[in-house]
Amino acid sequence: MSTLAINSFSGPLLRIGSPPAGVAGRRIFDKTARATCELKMGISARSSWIFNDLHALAEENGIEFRQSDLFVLAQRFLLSIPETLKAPELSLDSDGEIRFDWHNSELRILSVALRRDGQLTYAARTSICDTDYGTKFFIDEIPQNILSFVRQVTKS
Amino acid sequence: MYISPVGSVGRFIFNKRDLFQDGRPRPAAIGPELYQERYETSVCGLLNVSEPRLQFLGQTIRSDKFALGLIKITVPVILSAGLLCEAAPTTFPEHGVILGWNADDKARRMNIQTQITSTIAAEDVLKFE
Repeated sequence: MSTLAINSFSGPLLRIGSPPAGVAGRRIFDKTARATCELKMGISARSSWIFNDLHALAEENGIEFRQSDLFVLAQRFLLSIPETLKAPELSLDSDGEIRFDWHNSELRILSVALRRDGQLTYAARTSICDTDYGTKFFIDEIPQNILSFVRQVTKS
Repeated sequence: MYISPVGSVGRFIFNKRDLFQDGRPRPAAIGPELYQERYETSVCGLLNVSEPRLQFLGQTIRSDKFALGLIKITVPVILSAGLLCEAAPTTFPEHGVILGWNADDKARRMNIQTQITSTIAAEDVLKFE
């Protein structure tokens, strides 16, 4: 199966993992990295890549996916994102919550942290002057204001 | 000595997920950790600190991991977000901490992380070879 799952050889830090030989090699490597990055940034929610990435996140942190209520909930959260929206980037907070981040090149950012009981803590910066933050709950559906922030933050 | 109110401080990153795919820092990359009942973000003063020294620190401050890079954050941005940035030369002389994070409300902390990281470009991330 071909996937775009993140690994230690992809992303902006990829030169650290496998240095290519020669100028031509580096140029090809850079172009490939840029193309992969653009592809990932434009990828829509509901694509297999984002679910693979969630599994990769669990694995990186030594968590057995199926045994973790939080990761199973996170999978439901990702499934609830309309496929017309872009996929978030994932990470694990130091307090154990899963972080979903969206951004665009104009410095708009939405950051959402999902807790095991479904609490969503969010902070959005939709323009230079407009910020919002607070908490909501995820119960089968993603709250409309969070979806609205995703649209605002990711629009070109 | 290593932290100036008009200069920058650096935040070492140890996880590739601390950066967006385009190389800009993600909000959680500067998120604080609870330490002795207060939230603080560990940073490194950058005033008169050479890049080889930063690389050395990146390789030695954690026993389990090497730093992948360092995010430069300007101190005025930290201060304008209502936080403090102080020297804390405990583990190494250049060490500092960002303080003043709201202890009770994660949403407020995330809001400030979002504000600060929105001012940082991919070029402000020093990647260690």
